[in-house]
This record gives sequence, C-alpha cells and structure tokens, in this order.
Amino acid sequence: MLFTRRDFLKVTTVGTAGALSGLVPEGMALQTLQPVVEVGNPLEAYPSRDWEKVYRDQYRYDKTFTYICSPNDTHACRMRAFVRNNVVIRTEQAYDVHKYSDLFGNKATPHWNPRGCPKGFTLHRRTYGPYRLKYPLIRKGWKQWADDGFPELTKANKTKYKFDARGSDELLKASWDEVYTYMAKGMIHIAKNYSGKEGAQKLAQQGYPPEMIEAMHDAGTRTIKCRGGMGLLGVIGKYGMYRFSNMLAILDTHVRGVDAGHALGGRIWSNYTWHGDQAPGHPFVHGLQASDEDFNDLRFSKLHIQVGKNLVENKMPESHFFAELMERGARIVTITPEYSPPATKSDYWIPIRPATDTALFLGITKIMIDEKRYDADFVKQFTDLPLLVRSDNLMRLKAADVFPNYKNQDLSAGPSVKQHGLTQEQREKLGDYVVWDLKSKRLHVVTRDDVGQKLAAKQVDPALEGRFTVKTVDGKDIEVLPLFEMYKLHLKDYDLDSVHEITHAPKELIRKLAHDIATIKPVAIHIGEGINHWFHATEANRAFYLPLMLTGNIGKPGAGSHTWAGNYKAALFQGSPWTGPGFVGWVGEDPFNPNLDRNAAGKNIKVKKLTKDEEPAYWNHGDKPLIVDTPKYGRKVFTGQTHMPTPTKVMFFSNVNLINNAKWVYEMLKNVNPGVEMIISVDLEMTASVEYADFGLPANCWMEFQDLEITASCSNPFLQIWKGGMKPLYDTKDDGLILAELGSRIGELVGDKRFADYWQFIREKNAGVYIQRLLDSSTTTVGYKLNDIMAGKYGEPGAALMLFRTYPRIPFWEQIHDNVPFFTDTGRLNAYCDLPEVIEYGENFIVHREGPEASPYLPNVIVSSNPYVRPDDYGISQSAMHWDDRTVRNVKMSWSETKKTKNPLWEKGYHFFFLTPKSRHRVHSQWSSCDWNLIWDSNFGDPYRMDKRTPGVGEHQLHMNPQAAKDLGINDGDYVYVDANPADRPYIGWKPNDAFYRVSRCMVRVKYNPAYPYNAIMMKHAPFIATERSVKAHEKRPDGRALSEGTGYQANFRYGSQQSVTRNWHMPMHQTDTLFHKAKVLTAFIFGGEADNHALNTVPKETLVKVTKAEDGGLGGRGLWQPAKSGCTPNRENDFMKQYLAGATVKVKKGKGGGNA
Amino acid sequence: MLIRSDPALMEEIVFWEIKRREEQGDLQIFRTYHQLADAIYEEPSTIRREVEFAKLHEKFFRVMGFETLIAQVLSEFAPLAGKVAEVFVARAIRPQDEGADLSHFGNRIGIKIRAERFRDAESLKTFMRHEFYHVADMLDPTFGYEPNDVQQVSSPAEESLLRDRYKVLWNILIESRLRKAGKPTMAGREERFAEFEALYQKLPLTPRVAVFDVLWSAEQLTHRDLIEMASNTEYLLERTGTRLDQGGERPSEAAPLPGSKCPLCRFPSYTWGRVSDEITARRIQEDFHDWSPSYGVCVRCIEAYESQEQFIGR
Repeated sequence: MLFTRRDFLKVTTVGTAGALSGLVPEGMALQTLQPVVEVGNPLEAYPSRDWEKVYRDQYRYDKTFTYICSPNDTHACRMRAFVRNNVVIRTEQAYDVHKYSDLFGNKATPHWNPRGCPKGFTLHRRTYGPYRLKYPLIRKGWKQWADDGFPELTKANKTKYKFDARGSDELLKASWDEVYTYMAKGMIHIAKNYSGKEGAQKLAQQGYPPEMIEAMHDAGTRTIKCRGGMGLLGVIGKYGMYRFSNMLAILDTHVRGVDAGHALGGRIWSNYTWHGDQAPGHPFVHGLQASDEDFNDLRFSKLHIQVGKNLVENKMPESHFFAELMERGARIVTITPEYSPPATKSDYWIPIRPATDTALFLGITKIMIDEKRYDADFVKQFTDLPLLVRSDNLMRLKAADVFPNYKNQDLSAGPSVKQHGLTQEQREKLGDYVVWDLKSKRLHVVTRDDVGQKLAAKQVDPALEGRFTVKTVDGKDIEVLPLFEMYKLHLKDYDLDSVHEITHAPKELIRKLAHDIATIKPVAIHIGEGINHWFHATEANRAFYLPLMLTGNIGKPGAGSHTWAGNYKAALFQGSPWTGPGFVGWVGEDPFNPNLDRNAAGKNIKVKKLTKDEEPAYWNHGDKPLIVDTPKYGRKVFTGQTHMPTPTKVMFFSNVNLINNAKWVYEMLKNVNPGVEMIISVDLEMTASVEYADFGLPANCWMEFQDLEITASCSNPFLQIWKGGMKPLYDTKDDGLILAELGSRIGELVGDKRFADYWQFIREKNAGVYIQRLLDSSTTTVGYKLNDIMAGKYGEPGAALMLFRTYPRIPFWEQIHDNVPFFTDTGRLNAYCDLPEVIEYGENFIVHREGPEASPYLPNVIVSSNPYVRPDDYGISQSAMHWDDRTVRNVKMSWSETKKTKNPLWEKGYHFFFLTPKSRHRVHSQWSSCDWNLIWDSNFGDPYRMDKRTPGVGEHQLHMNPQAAKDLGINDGDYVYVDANPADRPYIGWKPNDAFYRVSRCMVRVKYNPAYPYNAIMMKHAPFIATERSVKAHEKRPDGRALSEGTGYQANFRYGSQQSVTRNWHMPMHQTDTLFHKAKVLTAFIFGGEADNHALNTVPKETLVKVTKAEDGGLGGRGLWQPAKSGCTPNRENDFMKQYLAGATVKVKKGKGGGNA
Repeated sequence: MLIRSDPALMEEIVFWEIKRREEQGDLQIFRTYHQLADAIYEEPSTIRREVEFAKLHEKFFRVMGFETLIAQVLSEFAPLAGKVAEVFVARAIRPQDEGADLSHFGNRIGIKIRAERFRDAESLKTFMRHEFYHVADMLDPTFGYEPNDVQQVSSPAEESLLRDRYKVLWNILIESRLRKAGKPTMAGREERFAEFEALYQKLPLTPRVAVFDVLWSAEQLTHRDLIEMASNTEYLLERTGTRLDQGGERPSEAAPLPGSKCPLCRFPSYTWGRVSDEITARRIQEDFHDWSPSYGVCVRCIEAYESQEQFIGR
C-alpha cells in the first residue's frame, strides 16, 4: 500500500495536534493563506497585444458557400464551407433546414436541425489530401494491347498485357484527350468483338452458359456494364452512367448495322441490392421496393424496435430524432446478437443468435394469435390472411377456380388502374381471390381493390378460421383454408421453448415483446444491414411484418417496418402518366430522338429504354448465373429470365469503390477480372478499384462541381441542388462531363453526331436543362422551377421540399387512409406467397431457415413440420457441401430434428459468425483515406505509428469476446488471421505459395469487447483492402507503411481485408420471374426481376470464420499490446478498474432526508 | 562509488518504514520525522518545498540503513569499484520493470526496484546481488559482453525466443556462481528448470535434464556462449557435453515454435497441425518438393489441401 504525503498529513493531525501547535505561532495558520506576492493587472503592463488579433482571426474567412455532402449515408446534408485565401479551411453544418418550404407554403420542422456529422467536417482534408487523383491514368499493359490493335485475349496475351496481373502493372499519366480516345476505341472494339454469331461463339468458348449469351440478343454492347454509384447521390453525374449505357444503342447500330428499332444499349448495374442494402422481403409483403419514412417520423413511435440496426452509430445527423423518441417516452427495444450502442439506450435488449430473427417474430406472432391479441378488422381488410388457399396445390383459391365461366371484375375505374397503372394484361393474369363469408356462409369474391372500407362496404365478413371443402369448376373436391387458419398450424413449430432454443433469446423477453407489440401503439420496427446481409433476409423481412399486420401498425405516424441503408431511392423522381417520365426521362431518353430544345417541358421527353438492368452479383459469382446440376432433374437454371446476366467485358463505374467493396474481392481479382477486357474507375481518390483498373479518371468532389447537380433522400424530404464553390484543384472534371465527352468521342470515331447531341447541355455546362425536365416530369417535384429554387425561394438557395403526401412521409398512408390497395398481387399485405418457385423452395409460408453457411446446423434447412410446406430438395444429398448445392437444397425438418444436425464447416472450427456493420467514421469506404477518421475509427489509431507494423496512421480491428479470444490464446491487441472456408476463400484455387495468397489473407488486430457473444466477432466493413502494391510496400519500406509505390494508395490492412472471407450467394428467392410488384420509378407494375427491387441482394454476413493468432500485439511483435497492460482493458482489469466498474470507487452518504448527500 | 536514489522511491520506503515502526509501538522516529517535516510545510514555494522534502527523505533513508544495504551488496563486487562512478536506484512500479543496466558509457549503473522489496532486507540483497551480477558480467572482459551483437531472426517470435533463452541461461549462470559463493539465489533449481524446459521442449527429457545440470553448475560461460546456446540447440548440446540420444528417447515432435513461419505459406503461425494422411502429404509435396512432414505445417495450409481435395477433386 502506498503511503502518500496526504495520508500522512491526516495521521499527523490526529496524532500530534499538540506538537504542531507547539511549533507554529498563534495566528500563523491564517497568515499562511494570505497571497505571498501582490500582483496587479498583468495586462496593463503587457508590452504588445497584436498577437491576440492573429489568434482571434484564425477563424476569419473571406467567403462561404454551401454544397451538399453527398456520400451514400442518405442524408445529403447541406454544409457550409469557409474559404480564406481561396482555400477551404473548414466546413460546418449549415443549420438552415427550418427555412425549407414547398410550393404550397409548407415548411420543414426546425427539429431537423442541425444536419451534418464529423465525416462532413473532414471533407476538406480529403479534398486537399495526398490521395486525390490529379490526372487521368491508363494502365500500361492495356495501352499496349490497344496500340497493338486489340489482339485476341488468349491466355498468353492476357499474361502479356497483364490482364491477369493488373495489380503489378504501371498506371501511366495521360491527358483527357488520350484516355477518351483509348476508351472509345476499346468500347467499339469490344462491342464488335462480341456481337453476332461470331461473338456468341467466342463467349461460348470462354465458358459462358448459353442462357447468358442468348440474353445478349447478339449485341456486343450488352457486355458493357455501367454503374453510377449510388446514382441518387448525383442524378445527373452518377445516374448519368445509365444514360451513357442507353446511348450505347447508337453504337450498336454501327456495330451490327441494325436500325434504331433493334438496337440495344449496354447493361446497367445496380447499387442497392448489390450492396445487400435492400430488404428483399419487402416486395413480397407489400409490393414496394422498400418501406422507409422520413426520420422526422421516427419520434412519433411509442414502441420503437431496432433489429440488426444501429441508429446511434449510423444515420448520425438524424440521431437527435432517436434522442427525441426517448424524451417523448417511447419504449425502446433492441434485438441484436451483441450489446450494441442502441441496446445501451433501450428499455430492454433481446440478445439473439445471428440470422434467427425470423424464428423470433414467428414466435411472437404465435403468442399474439394464441392469445387473440390482434385487430381482426384490420387483418380482414388489409391482409391476405382471410384469403382462401388450396391445400392440394398450395395456390391461392381464385374465383375462376370455383365459379364457372367467371369473368374478372372490372377494375378500370378503381385505384389499381387509375392510380397504380395496372394494365389489363396484368389484371387478367392476377385474377380475383376468394374468401369464406361468415355472413352468407359461402364463398365470396374479393378483388385487389376490395381493401379497407371498400371491403366493409361490400358487407362481407371474411372468415379467418375454419376448413372448407369446395368443388372446382372441373368437378374436383378440394379443401381450402383461410391463410390465417393455415398459419395457426404453421406456427406450431414456433412455440416459446423452440423459439428460445433456436434464437437463444430469453423466453420472458420474447413474451414481453409480444405483449408490448399487442398493447402499445404506434409500433415501428427499424431494420438494417444486420438483417439484410444474410441469405434468408427475405424471410426475416416478411416475418417482421406479421405482428404489425395483426395489430394495424402500418401506414400511420410512428408505425411500420422500415429498412435503412443506402440512398437508393431513384423512385423519388417518380414518373407518371400525368407528369411525364420522371427519372427515366434522364436515364432513358431516346438516344435516337433526344430533345435538343433547352426549353422543352419534361413531359415531352421521349423515352426509349434500350438498356437492361443487371446485378453485379453475377459478376461476383464467377460472372455466372445460378445453374446447378441436380441429381433429380439434371441441369437446372435457378436464375429467372428477367434476371439473366450477360457476360462482362467492360466495367465502367463512378463514385463507387466497386472492386474494393466487392464480396470475395480476391476471387474477383484473381479469377474473374482477367476475363474483363476494360475496367474504368471514376473517383476522387486513389483506391484499390483504381489500382486494379485499366483507366482511372479523376472526378471533381462535391465542393468542386462546375455544373449543377441534384439529389434527394430516402430518409428526409429535402430536394437539394447545388454547384461547387471552389475551382478544381487538379485536372479533374464533373462526372457528367466525363460521360458526355467520352460519349462524344465515340461519336467522333464512328462519325455520328448523335452521340454528342445526347449530351448537348452537359457539354454546354448547362445541366440545369436536364434538371428542369426532371422536376417537370416527376410526381414529387412537378411545378418547381429550377431558377426559383436556386434563387432561394424555398429556403437556402438550392433547397426545397419534395412534394410528399404527408410531412413526414409515411409509407402506405394512402393504403390505410384512402383504402387504396397495396402493390401486391392481392392488393393486400401478404403473409403468403404462392409463386411456383417459392412453393418449390418451401418458402410459401414465412419460415425460419438456417443459412447455407452461417449456422451450426444442416446448411439451409427449413425448420418446419407444416404439411403445407412442400420443398423440393432436387435430390441433393444432405452431406453435399458445394456452395451452390447448399444454396438450392431445400430440406424440411422440425426443430427437434434440426438441432441434432451439424454443419461440417462449424465442426471444423469455423464457428464464428462474422458481423460486418458500417463504421460511424466512414461511409462504406469513403473517408478510408482521411487520417483523422482513420485515427478515430479504431483503438489502434496512432498518428506517430509507433508500431511500424501498422499500415498507416489508422488500423482496422476485429471485436471479439474476451473469453473466446483467450480460449484461442489470443490477447487483446494481438494480430490474428481471419479465415473462411479454404475451399473458396480468399479465392478458388489458392495455394500457400501463391504470391497473391500473401496479399489476400486477412490479418487484423483484435480488440477485446465483452459486448459480443462468444461466437460472434465484428469487423466494420469497407476499409481500404490490401493490394499487391500495398503489401509490397508494407514489407519493403523501412517504415512499414502500406503505401503503394507508384500509385500512392494507402491500405488500411497489412494483408487481406474483410472481403477476404465474404463471398456471393445466389439466393433463389431473389431471382423469380413471377413476383408481381411495383416498378421502381414508374407508376406501373412488373412481374419478375428489376435491379434494386426484386433481384439478388448480396449477403456478405453469410460466412463462418476461424480466428487464429498471427503475431503478438506488443511493439515490434513482442509481448502484450501496451494498453492491455494498463489494467483498464476488458478481462485484464486491475483492482481499481474492477471497483470502478462495480461503482465502488465513490461512496455516497445518504443525507438526513434519506437522499444522497 | 556514489549511490543516489530516486526521491519518490525513498519517500515511499521511508513512509512505509515509519508506519511499520509506529505499528510496532516505536514512535520515536515518527516524532522526529514530523518535527522536521512539519516545518517544511511552512515553506511557501512549492518547488523549494519539494527539494526540502527530498533531502529529508534522503536523510531518513540513510539513517534507516537502506543505503547501507545497497552499499553492502555493491561491496561484494570489487571489480565494479574501479569502473563505476555512480549507482542510481530508481523506482519500479511493476515486477517486469525491475532490473539493472549499465549506462551507455559504462560508468553508471541504474537499478530499478519496487519499493516493497525494501521491506525484507535479505530478499532485497538477494535481488540486488543477482542484478549487480548481470552488470558485473557486462563489465567483465572475460564475459565478452557485446551490446551491438546482431542476430539474424526470421520473425518477432523467433527474436522473442532468442531473448528469453538468453535471459534464462544467463540467470542460471549467475545463480550457479552465487551458489558456489554460498549466497542465496532468486530462484531455486525447480523453478529455473521449469523456465529452461519451457524454452527447449524439442529436446528429449534426459538430455534436457543433463544440459540443465551442467548449466546449473557452470562457472565460465561467455556472452557468445549464451547467444549460441540460445540460437543453436546443437551448440548447446556440444557445449554441455550432452548427446541428443542420451536416454534413448527420440527428439520431441512438438510443433514448431509458436509464431514462427509456416514453411508453406510463410505466414507466422501459432496453430500447427499434423498431416494425417499420405494423400494430403503427397499433394503438398507436389507443390513443395523439399517439404517433409517433420518440418510442420500450419493448420490453414493443411485444410487448404484437404478441402480442395473434397470440393474441387484435386
């Protein structure tokens, strides 16, 4: 025990009062308190105070301007930049939202203020930082290939021109003129090379399946994939990439000699679903791409449930609404595997095994149904639960099945046709539905328009329970049941005990949540990538709706199930018959008849969509669809025709770190991209995507835009238009101008001015013409004049409110209040899906399935004993472990059988779930170059890089349960390897002595975090990956920095990345040709696939990993990481820290009144 | 030889000693201390006050006999007297911070000791004796200490092993000589053998014990001997006159050194495995002609060959 002088003083006082008094003269004690030296006002004598002015003036600025900070976090915050001596010295929140208004005088609530976050505050560091792309780049090998006349890319030539070794080639400085010519020539050559029968033959020889080649319809332009990511972040410049793809139809006329009526453009790659951002189950439930609200609505819930969502670390500018929710007395519940930041704010936290949320909500639904805690009227009027289902074929009973000579009822005057654009052909295909009417005791027809009060007006009281035998028109007796009755049977597998075993969630909390949902209103469920990044997200999304459907928590303030990730909502610029083409008028204007009248109204723009959307997920799967050789049926194609990809020969993308952020990135680099003949990356900074591209094109940042740009948001009602306020620092251009100039160059080479015409107003730096057309022709902006908006008529110049039905925007308001159908086949919220594929997959009911990889049990098993779940296993053995076999095999088992099964991968020690949420300090990979953000982003940030192993000033980390780490001999701060199934990761065919294996194996620091359960680890996603150049630098540079020579790319890893252990899974439920749902950007319906809407939603969390120690965490690889020795870190707490955590370091005396002193 | 001590260390020791004596009923020193200390509190200048307290504690440190203890131990190392001008005793907070070292120019010794060691004079002397022996060896030309000796290592783990072995061997050497001189040692035979054994697991038990026995009685080993014995097991055996096959046991097939590099992937590894079947071993040798199972291989590499066999049909 340490004795301090202060301790000793106490002892002295007690022991020697007399001694002290003997030594000290009386009155001395008081005198000792007098100041020793008299000091006057020092400032009076201070010689010079001029320096104070310099100090106060350090924040002086010459001018300011506002711009939109527009990364993919959805907020589009207007920031104010402060400029001095022509340098932006800082950026701040603009604090202006309370001034925003719309055409009708409605104003935004001041509660939106302030908007902006720490990422926005460091933008100027990126803008002026050392990683900017300063001029165009062309890969040396690619240039040589072009100069040699584009010889056939045989295996030998791929090596000669380094298509199989892009990462070790040189990137040469070039002028814009040069790169435009090379790129244009490249596109022309590739389009020619793969057109017609000869092109098809070449592709077949390269191993592409016939379905992909057929999907090209002989057009080589269909091998050109264009992606402006995330397009809504800049409708002109980013979504302009889709317009570019449409323009390629003109090229097709030159290549194939076809006319405009037969020409085809390129393919357009998605954004939302590619990132796994969509809730893929939403179109199954309500027919809409996604349900999300203005964040302003968040605060009106009284029961707020976050599932796999972190509204503390994400959506940061709107986090004050979450705080307001608490102030307004809402009950907050968080459901996550770990004790997450929202869990710390919650009334209760439900811990859960990853990817078992479906089971949890099925269990909750069972409790509510068993205890009759549901709003029967709402269920009958707005859900499919009263609709009859046939027990023989599991299809919904249609009126035509049982009423002879039935003719579908006329809906032409109703909302399905007049408001939603249902065509007659679609109407005939859908038919009408049947219920059992309790009043008349017979079958009664309901149409998709018979919802809400319209059903009530028909005096029909549909039964929810019962079994009925009916005769079909062909004389067969069949049993039919209301779906509700079938669910009662179905939910028997989800009793409380089973749900507890499946999910590991405490029974009392499951019951508590069921009762809270049943008794508190309004209820909102907020989900995120913590749900959507799993293979069976579809089921989870559908399951979350069940309790809300039972209680009517839809379409009302503070209610609903809402999904949050990126700024995907092109649908904000919705076209309609009464306004015009909207968004499609920009991306799909007829390239053969562009409107060159600068004053043309948006409604008059002719649309001719010659592109076809496609999921990059196919590229991510070896550039192949899902085709499996099944024992039962032989070769079976699971990818629907409406989804079918084409071979990828050109990748042209902007504003997205496509390669860096690709799941299974090293497989792409090693085995897939050598087959891609031209990769063009447009970006601000040097990224891994640029390092592995053939062309790197430098773009202006948001502050540098030379022409107008427009954006809006899925999470707020603000329309934002802006231009930059500073001149570009380098030889950079606006995204839109790059597209325009490249398009024009193609036109010059083929001698066709239509290419240039298509971009006329961009070339003239008058993007406002296209913006006005967009405003004119979108339902949410019709009536606005660009000049008024820029003059500040609606608030800050450039800002206005989108014209939503309500403020805040509430999904399905019209459905509930105006009795308008939902966007499903039934017009109701669907708990059931009777598509033939879905019945085959065993997912007609919402059912819990274990994942194809991330499970300790039989991969992909369906947990059910319901006789109305009849999956097809295609004859695939239960022991089959190939990833595609696991993907499509459908085996049904009760829970008691399931829990006896084992996943061989889990048994081999791959027993960590790998959670990869978004970091608060980056927006996906943006800001991975900014020093401050890197330092904030982990516990290992160190501007001095005292440990020379650190790749840069920041270093990525893996959160791990301390006991799990200890059991593996891993200390806090140690370096570890994170490895996944060696059969395919980090790439297929890897060998220990591959130089590329050294690049691709994930090595990262461990941080003990007791918030995580034993079998779950967490790494934030999308840091900058290790590349060949960065690994070489890390190993050769004396300072150990992972800073690539030649490109100046700064990796965040020493080796590998988070994408070393992820891969793509081709989820069958996402690839149907039959799902009926609303088209994204039109008031119309479609069957089957549409990118970002009903399409492959990638699932990076569907992985199991092993963690093993690599190096000691101490300096230079010796001993413990220094902070772990402090006694203040998890599992190494010293006595004081233990006392502190127990609250025992401060003793509080109770006062006389019983309260604390 | 001048002996100086860290004021914070002296203060802590003095306080403790006063408290100890007070608890035993001896209030004399308590009173004397306070008569002098209380006056210092009157000093208005905080800087001056600290200086005076430091002098006070130094005085008591000496009066209490602590400095004498240090001097007594130093006197046992006669060669130091001519070479070292000053010994500075500093305060260590944690056991791993304790130890003695020589200054850059070799004429000052620094020794870091935790204050609690001063509560047991004999234990303190044992500790200091052991530490000063290290310094004495460093100054002894026959020991041949070379601070700039650079060993080539292939990984931090290998460097750690080298350092740990060197440290243990040197400790054993010092304690051997201390025992011969009739002085107590920091650790007993069992404890030192456990340390030694943990670092030489590949040696079979009998030669391991035999090597240790020789070292435990060693008198004349040099710095170079220790380095070589730490980095080269064959030299260890040769220098101690031990045969690897003594006792008839085979060398342990213990896994390669934790943290050393896998011969296949060259990543440092702490998880080593055995190749259990010939097919896998053959497949590895197709790619790595010089590899033999006795070299070891990390678990990840084994899985790569097994899994590829299963899924890709290699």
